[in-house]
Amino acid sequence: MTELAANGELFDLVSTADNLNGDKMKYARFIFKQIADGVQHLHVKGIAHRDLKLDNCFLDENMAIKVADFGLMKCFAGTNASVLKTKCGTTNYMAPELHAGGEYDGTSVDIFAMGVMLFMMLTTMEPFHEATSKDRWYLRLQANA
Amino acid sequence: MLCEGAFGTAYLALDDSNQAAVKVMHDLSEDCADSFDTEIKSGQAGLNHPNVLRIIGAGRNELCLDGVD
Repeated sequence: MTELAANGELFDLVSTADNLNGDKMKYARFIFKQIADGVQHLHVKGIAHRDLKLDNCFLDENMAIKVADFGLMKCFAGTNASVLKTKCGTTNYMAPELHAGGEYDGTSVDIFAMGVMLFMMLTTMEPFHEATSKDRWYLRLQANA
Repeated sequence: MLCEGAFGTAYLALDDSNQAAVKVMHDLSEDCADSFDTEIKSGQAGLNHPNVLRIIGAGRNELCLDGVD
């Protein structure tokens, strides 16, 4: 049982964001700051979410963001300290080091996923399908970085 | 009913003064059970932030949901 997020998934809001016209930037800023605040709280508590995506961020009745779905979260600090190795997440939000396999930093992969979310909020499109050299859109982004 | 996902269905719950969401898992495979256990742990991890969904409680029961819509 969880608190209620009456306005549903952020994904649905972003899917219809073309209706926001010039306010899209303002909305993205308002929402992204809240996601960053929520994720920072997780990281300060020693938790990596590892499956951040628009579908896992919900909106309450005041359009406040609620980061949710902790099914893949991992404690990386304190008494449960562990090096993260398990490859997990949702393909188009996964950082390159997750695709590569091996060890990775749980906070960094969360921040990468936040970048993908911000791109989607602003453009209503995915930046790439997967962050690997097989993906021409990812290569193009890298070339322009 | 609020929404239906891959592993479960979310329902709206009401008591005298509060509303809450109740997620009922219908997939009882091992992967799903692991994910459920992990999610419960987050409720015990001292998370308390306006932008992090608060977990109020969880239990493992065969539920009877007759009349729920």
